[in-house]
Amino acid sequence: MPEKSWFEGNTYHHSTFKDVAELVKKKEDRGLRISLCFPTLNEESTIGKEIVIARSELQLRNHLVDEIVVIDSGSRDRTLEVARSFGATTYTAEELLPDLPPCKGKGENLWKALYVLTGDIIVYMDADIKNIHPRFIYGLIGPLLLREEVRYVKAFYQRPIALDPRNVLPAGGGRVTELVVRPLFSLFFPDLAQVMQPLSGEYAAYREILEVLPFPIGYGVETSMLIDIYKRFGMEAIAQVDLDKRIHRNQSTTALGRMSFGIVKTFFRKLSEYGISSIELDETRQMIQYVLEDGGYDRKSFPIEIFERPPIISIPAYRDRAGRREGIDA
Amino acid sequence: MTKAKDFLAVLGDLGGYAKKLETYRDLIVGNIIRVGEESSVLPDPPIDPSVDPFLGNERARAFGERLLEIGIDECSIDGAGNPVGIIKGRKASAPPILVAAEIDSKYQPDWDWHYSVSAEAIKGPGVTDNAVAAACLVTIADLARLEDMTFDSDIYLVGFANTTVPGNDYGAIDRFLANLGQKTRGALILKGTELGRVNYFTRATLRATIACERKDEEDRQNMILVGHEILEGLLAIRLPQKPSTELIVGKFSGGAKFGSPAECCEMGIELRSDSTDILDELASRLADVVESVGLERGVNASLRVKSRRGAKNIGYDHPLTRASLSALASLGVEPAVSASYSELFFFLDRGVAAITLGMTEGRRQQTDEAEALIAPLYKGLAQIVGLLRTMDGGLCDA
Repeated sequence: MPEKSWFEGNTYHHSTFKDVAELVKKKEDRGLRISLCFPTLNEESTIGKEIVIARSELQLRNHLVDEIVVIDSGSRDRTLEVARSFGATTYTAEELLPDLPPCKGKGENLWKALYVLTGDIIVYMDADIKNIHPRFIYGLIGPLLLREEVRYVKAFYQRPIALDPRNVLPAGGGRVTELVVRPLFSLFFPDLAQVMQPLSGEYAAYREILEVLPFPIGYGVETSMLIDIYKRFGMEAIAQVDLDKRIHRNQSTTALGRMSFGIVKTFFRKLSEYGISSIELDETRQMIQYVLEDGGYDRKSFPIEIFERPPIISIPAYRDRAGRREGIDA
Repeated sequence: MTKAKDFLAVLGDLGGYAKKLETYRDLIVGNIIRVGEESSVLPDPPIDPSVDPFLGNERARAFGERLLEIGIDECSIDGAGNPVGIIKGRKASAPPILVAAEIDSKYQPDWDWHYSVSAEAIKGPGVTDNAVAAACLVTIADLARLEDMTFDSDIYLVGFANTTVPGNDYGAIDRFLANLGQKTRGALILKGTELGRVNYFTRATLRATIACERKDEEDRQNMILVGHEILEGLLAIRLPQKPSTELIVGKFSGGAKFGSPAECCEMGIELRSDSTDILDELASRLADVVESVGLERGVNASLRVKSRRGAKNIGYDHPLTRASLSALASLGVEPAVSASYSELFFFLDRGVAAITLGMTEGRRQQTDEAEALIAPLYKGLAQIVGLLRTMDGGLCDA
């Protein structure tokens, strides 16, 4: 009988893990804690619902998630107030590890979250999901608890995009994936081309994996993380879960262009780092776009810098805190 | 009166209980989202019940699955697709108490909607009508488990589904009650809004459509004008002030384009009266008007009765009415007494002591932006749990 391919063996549907009570038992048998983290920036319209569903279904009804934490990049709306009102612990990224030079971006939130989260398993969840459902969370946790070798789980979905509440296109998400990331993976890391949505903002992993990875602060964090985990731990450490439909905000093509620029920059850095290709990048180069304004095209340049935080295990303050946590656990 | 007061004295501080329910906010809001975000629109063509007992009603399915997740003692579905959960009572001999709600939403847009949640409210189409009430039924099952709440009677949590199917008009409710096959100790009917609502009587109601169409293609008469003639005839019928009676013309449509006389028209009317006899007498006069105009104009004019319900009243002095008003008073909620035009009739018609109560305050109902406020829900639920306990203590048994 032919051996199962990675895709066949490590791709799941969320319904495989719908017995949440079984997951809770596995978690408790292994003495694990699970943290759910929402990186946010101006998400007041969706964050409350995400937290209340996580709390009601996976904390109160089933004790799967031990803590819910919001790490914010400086929202100007009521994101933090709403999150706190629904019982989440909230931090701004800048108040964490204040001795380090400040950075701003989703990767910064994810990286600094490791400093304050107490879980052995960390679930990262974007805060702009309109159709949040517990499956988004237990679906990601399931493979980590039920398969010893799996250390990192990535979400994939059908991705309708909401142009406005009445106008949801049945497909159209994942444009950067199909036009940029998958071609690059196919060229340089063909195994990773099996990952359906490498840019999805929902994934879960064991802390021991995340704490030894560098985190780009900007757009490239998901791509970088995936390449690093693949190179250091192999494909068998990765699984992916179909979470069905996820409705999120639409982004303009120009915004996706800037995202792609950041991802390509990160990608080339990784190629160089792993000795696959030695393209010399001029880090001062900017993303150039032409925007139609007042009847003419206006040239705009965007300095998309890729700053990378080192593995957080290399930060003494983190090691101290981790040591204290282990001491308490012991 | 004294009896109801005694029961509430036994129950204790309802206001304090409402305060305690605030600690369950996330469960309550979670239930509203999980149940209410599922569509209650039935697929077209219809699904055979032998293939799917929920008939494709995803909200009914979510409601039933939710009760199972909570671990309710029994959960089943009847032949009309109504999911029913049972909290088993201690005494097998005690008749059951029903807590029921229509779980469908009459207003459901055809786009993929989702609720949004703020600290104050849950917003989205159909949330007040009647997703909140459906979720409150589920929450009662939650509370029974979390608070080790036990009863002598079985508590039936009944979700009435598919009430929005054209032509059904609450037939599923009557069917459920007809098939129940046992005496009950009373029923509470939950409505999403408004907290304070108390319906303990119904008015006799007749809903009908009147249609006019040409008999042959040669006829050039404008059916809107013929319909208008019928309308004038209806409005000329003298309605008594006592018993209070009214005729409502709720819908009128016809025609295809600006420059062509309408080939057909249709109107929807509702006749309401405090007296079933008056309603029946007026119904026959309505039919006469329609028939006479049809004959005189040489067109097909028809009156089709969609539903007819009689006037029923458990009475202000009924212990259930008294206890409901006392419960609201103890919660500091002003009662809003009015007639019911929906489910209550079927319960009262079959001799079940029943009352309809509202669960929370709402805004912008029947719109995409409908909002159900969270804070009043605690009082809404407290009144239901309080009344359940008093009913289980024998409130309606005399």
